[in-house]
Amino acid sequence: MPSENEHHLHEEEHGHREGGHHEQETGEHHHHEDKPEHHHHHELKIKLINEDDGRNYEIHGEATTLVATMIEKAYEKLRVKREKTDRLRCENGEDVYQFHAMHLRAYFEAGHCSDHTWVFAGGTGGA
Amino acid sequence: MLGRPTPADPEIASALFSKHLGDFWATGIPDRKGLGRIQLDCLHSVIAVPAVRANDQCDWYFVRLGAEFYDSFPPTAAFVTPKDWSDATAGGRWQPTFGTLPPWFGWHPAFNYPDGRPRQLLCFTVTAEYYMVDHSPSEETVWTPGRHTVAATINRLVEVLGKPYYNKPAGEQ
Repeated sequence: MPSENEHHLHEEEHGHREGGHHEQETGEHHHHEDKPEHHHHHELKIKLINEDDGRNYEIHGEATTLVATMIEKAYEKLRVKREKTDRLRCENGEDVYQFHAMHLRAYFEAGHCSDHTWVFAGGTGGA
Repeated sequence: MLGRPTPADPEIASALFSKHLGDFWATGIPDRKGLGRIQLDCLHSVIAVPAVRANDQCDWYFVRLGAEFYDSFPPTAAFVTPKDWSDATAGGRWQPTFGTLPPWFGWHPAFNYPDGRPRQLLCFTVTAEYYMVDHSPSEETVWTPGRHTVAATINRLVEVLGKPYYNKPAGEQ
């Protein structure tokens, strides 16, 4: 029997994206559609929101993918150079970078970013 | 480094401003955040933002965004009164107060600008007013057309009008 978390992860892989304007990762999607069904069970996706321009993306990984790798994928998708003043958060405001050494499945199972959404904001100056 | 804002071609500014607002609304994110949008004219829209206090009480604010310099520069931004969309007065109901502020945001209810006309200053790198006074922002924080849109301004405003930053209306005892 799969665990409750496995059910959750499986449901997430088939979840629907919110909103209407999205940048699809066409290459990755097509690639996954060609894979045997059992490979889908390991795929995890994160919705990535760029607060600087309002665009949404999806990044994909597997249970054993490091959060650090997902962060790299996020920056590739955002097409921005990583800066110290950047912020990458869950929607509840929790910083993502600090969990870079965790595997993705463990990261989610520990309760981080339960909605599988990361929010990026480039550095802002002020005050 | 950006200099002082210079007026944009109104037709181009209006088209870009409208497109970027429309694109942002089409993501569904503004609806999820409870934002409203009222177009005043080709260059100006008011964004209705629900501010959330520490005790979860909600207060509405209205921020007028203008495309006078867009998008070589960010939109102008000011809290306004819903009566006639004029600038909210310092100390009144339609200006917020904050408990703490993030390091990237400053708020001046009545700032003395170089032109001698005191008015609000939403002081961060995603408003045009920020560039109307002397600042030395680090390079990566400077408004960059193509990388930043009006969505950045709205998202940052929503953030500071929530927990843990927002306090209450300035006019409330």
